[in-house]
Amino acid sequence: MSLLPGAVAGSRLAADEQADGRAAHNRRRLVRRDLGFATMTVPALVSFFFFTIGPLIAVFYVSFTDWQGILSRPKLVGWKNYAKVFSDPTFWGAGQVTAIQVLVLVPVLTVLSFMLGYFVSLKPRFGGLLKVILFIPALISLPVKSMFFIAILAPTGILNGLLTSVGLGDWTTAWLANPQTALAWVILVDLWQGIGFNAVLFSARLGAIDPETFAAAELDGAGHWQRMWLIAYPISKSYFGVMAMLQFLWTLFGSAATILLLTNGGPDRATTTWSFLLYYKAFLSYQIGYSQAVGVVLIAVGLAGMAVILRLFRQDY
Amino acid sequence: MSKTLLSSVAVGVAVATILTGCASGTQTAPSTAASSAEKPTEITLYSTMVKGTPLGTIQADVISKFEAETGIKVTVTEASGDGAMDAYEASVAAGTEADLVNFNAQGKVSTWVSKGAAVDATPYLEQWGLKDTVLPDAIADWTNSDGVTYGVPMIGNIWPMIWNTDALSKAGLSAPPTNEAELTGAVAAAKAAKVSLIAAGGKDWSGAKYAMMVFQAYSTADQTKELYRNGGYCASEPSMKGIEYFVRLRDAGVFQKDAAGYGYDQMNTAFFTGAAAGMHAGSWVFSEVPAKMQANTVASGMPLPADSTNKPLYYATYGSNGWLLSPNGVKKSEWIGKFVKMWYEQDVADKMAAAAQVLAFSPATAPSYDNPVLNSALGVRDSGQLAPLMDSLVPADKQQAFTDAASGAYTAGKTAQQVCAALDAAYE
Repeated sequence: MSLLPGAVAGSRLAADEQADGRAAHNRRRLVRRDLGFATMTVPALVSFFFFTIGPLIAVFYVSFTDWQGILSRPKLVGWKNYAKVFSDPTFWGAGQVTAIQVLVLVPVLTVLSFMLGYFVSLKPRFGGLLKVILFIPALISLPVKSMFFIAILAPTGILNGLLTSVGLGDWTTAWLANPQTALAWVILVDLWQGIGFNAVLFSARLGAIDPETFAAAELDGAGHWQRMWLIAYPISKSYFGVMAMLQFLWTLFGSAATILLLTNGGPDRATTTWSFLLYYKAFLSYQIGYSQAVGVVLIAVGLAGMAVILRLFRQDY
Repeated sequence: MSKTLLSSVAVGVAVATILTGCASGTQTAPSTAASSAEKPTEITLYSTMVKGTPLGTIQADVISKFEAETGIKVTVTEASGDGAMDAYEASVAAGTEADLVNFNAQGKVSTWVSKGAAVDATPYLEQWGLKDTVLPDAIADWTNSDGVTYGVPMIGNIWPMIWNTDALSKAGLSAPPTNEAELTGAVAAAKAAKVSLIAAGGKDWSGAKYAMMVFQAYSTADQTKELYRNGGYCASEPSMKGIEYFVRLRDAGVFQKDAAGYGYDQMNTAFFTGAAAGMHAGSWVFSEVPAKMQANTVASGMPLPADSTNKPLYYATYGSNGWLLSPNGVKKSEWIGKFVKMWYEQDVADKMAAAAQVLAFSPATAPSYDNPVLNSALGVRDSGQLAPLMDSLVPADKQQAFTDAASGAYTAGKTAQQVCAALDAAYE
């Protein structure tokens, strides 16, 4: 049985209309569904707006004010805080300390924790126990960690006691109050806390590399050093970069807490970083506008540093 | 684009609103005391006298008595730690602050009347019948540079040098040193006996306060007050001579080795264990001197260089703790006054003297002091000279930097010029 052309065209038209109707219905259904999903994100968006974007904008706004604390009214002063910051020797001194801390801590910690992570990824005997041990420093709260190191490094602490007991009494010093040693110890304490944690993260990434890759390299005569730096590193280069970037940001923005508890920025500002200076000016000197101008500089340096690190460690194969 | 701009403006307005809202707690202090019409059911207290301490125990007793007499409940929130003042300020901004607070007179507390966090105490001293009871010197310690009395003094301390005579004898000294020559002359013998002459907390406020007193070795009280207010240490001849004196003492080894690394607690430990012969100690710590050491512990003023015309220096302050009436407390002031007044009664004054070794703050009360170290310290007032404290004189926003600069003087190798420059930098 055959259909007339007009009837065929009519039925096609009807079918098209039907299809259009179904598509329109589907689109409406999708829009309704998407709107439903979007509505569910509103609380998160609102909280993100008020608790992340709001404070970020507030940092910029406050940096243009003279504000002495929560009970005072902020007064707009234009670029005055920035002029003060950039002409303040304390700011530049803190910049120097920050640079030393970042340039020493970030590379040393990232490289050492990568190497340790490689070792852990080989699943050595007692590897599980090793992971737990490596994680322990990260589980210790900052005040406890600080008390622990103060007990070691105080003038009458464990380290000086050991040195004296082995006849090296002349080497004893107030490690955290000596301008020559205080910053080194702050960096060492951060290394102590960070290496194990980062090593476990690296081991998780390196453990995902096909073992046959390493086996093939081993057959070709590659030792651990070659396998670590000529195979594992190139494969996980972008991950290495992300870890370096995170360490950079933690160091740049988060060093104030350790410094506050160990040295309070002293002696003689020898351990005052930009992060600590921000805290000091806001909470101890009641110069909140100044402190937020330092905060803006920190954000700028943080963004620039992130860009450089990500560029350096871009995956290139 | 325009939506982005609008969003940015909206965010900016929201932030500005939040920020300005934070400052809305600012109020003008009333010039006369307001009196409360109705008897409240509760008085809230934000107190630095915490449970388990001698003062906390006395506070609990006073509260029990007040509650029994008036039927008004006193609810205490303990204020402890470095953030206690900030927490109070935040509560003021929110309008939920306690009716009555106690703090020491230092730092930003002195600015609280102008910021609306406390009310002028002068009319209330009169309303509560304390105007003629509290010593004028005590009120002066609670009056800021604008002439505003911001608190009602409650605790006073004397803060001289104290010496362990047993440890001193090991350093060849039969009595506390009275001058620079005796101090520096005893260093070698003290080192040989493995005793330090003076323990100092060079990394915190305790060492800073001591250093500030040594810096006054050649200055008059008026000169020191002027320096506290405005700086100018490098340009002041007497202050430079005082700083040079400090540097000489430090370089001669008068302070314990690595004094820059010691804090307040470690300084106390060095003295209490006999590792140091002397320290600069406030009377609040006298009750902690070990019982077996108390009989051998004597107080003195600070030893001075031979060419100083001052008498041996000591601190005394009534700013250790005091009452501040909050804006919320104004409407309950009549009843708060009754509570505050209880602290000036004889039995409380006696308990305070016995437990916390504090000075009488009122000529009407004459507590009996049974602590031998305190009795020795009180004698210093006759032979010594009162040195001004920085607490209500250095501007609040400069105090931390000034304290850091003073404690930085303990760092080995630092010259007098570097010390004075650091002190002056605190005022920039």
